[in-house]
Amino acid sequence: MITRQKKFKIYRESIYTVTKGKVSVVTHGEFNRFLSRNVIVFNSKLVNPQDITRSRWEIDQFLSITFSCWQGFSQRRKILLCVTEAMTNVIKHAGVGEVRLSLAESSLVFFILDKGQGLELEQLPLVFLSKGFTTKGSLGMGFMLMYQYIDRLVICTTRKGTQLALETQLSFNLTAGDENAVNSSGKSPNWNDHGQKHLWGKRPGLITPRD
Amino acid sequence: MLEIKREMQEKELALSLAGELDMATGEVLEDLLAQEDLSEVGKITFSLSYLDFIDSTGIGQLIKYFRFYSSRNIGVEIVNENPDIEELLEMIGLREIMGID
Repeated sequence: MITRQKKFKIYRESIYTVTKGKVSVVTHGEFNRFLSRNVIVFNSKLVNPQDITRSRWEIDQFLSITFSCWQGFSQRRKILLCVTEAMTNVIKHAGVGEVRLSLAESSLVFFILDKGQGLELEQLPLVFLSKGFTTKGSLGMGFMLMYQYIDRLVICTTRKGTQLALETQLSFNLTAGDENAVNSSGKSPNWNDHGQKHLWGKRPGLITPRD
Repeated sequence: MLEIKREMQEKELALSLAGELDMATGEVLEDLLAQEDLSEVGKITFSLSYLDFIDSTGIGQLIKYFRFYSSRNIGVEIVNENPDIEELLEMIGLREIMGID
């Protein structure tokens, strides 16, 4: 009889390997430790479908103002699409949740959190890798789009909820010398007091199954 | 916010969507179609060119209409000239689902 712990280890190592390190499945404790390391610069509650539209608009405004050089980039639209997909999952499957944004020198990380019933471990490979997999009769393309457009996905899902982190490397560096990357006031945004280059440690956006 | 411009010419109902089509705004389109008398309609055209944003829920809604109206012998066409939206439609396989390559 395989223990749940052993099964979890097999799944997360398999998913990590198959996705070439793009998707990390982590425990609740691991996710919370990573979450607590980051400075949250935007936070929005998700209670009804209108909160999806409102949050996307607010995030777009925040990114436009903070990174004035990023106007009109298609990367921003793809990020907003992926965050919308994740927020929609919260409303569809959990009812309520929240979205948070953290900034680092060269990346953005969105945390999408809910306390719904979560996904079964066995469903995770299908969710990310199988086009059209759904548990609710919807199109089942949300995670596939996130997998396509986001650089790193970190997920913790149990019967007590799902915590998802979407990390994307920016197409420009948010260094102090990169004046175009800061807002029009000329001040660097207070995105990370810890001076981290990447939110997940030395290797960009990576939580290895052995962490 | 979703705005819909409606035009009826002969038996063709043309709906031009502008703004955002997602889980929250989809009901605007749903309500409009629910109020239509489709007994004289032979074809519905959805134009997406003026949309600023659409997600997989919005595209799923269009696929639902395609399946529903096709089964009632009403043609459905999706018109789009926005390259960002076209990329998403291709990724999701909308044209393939509608039998158009």
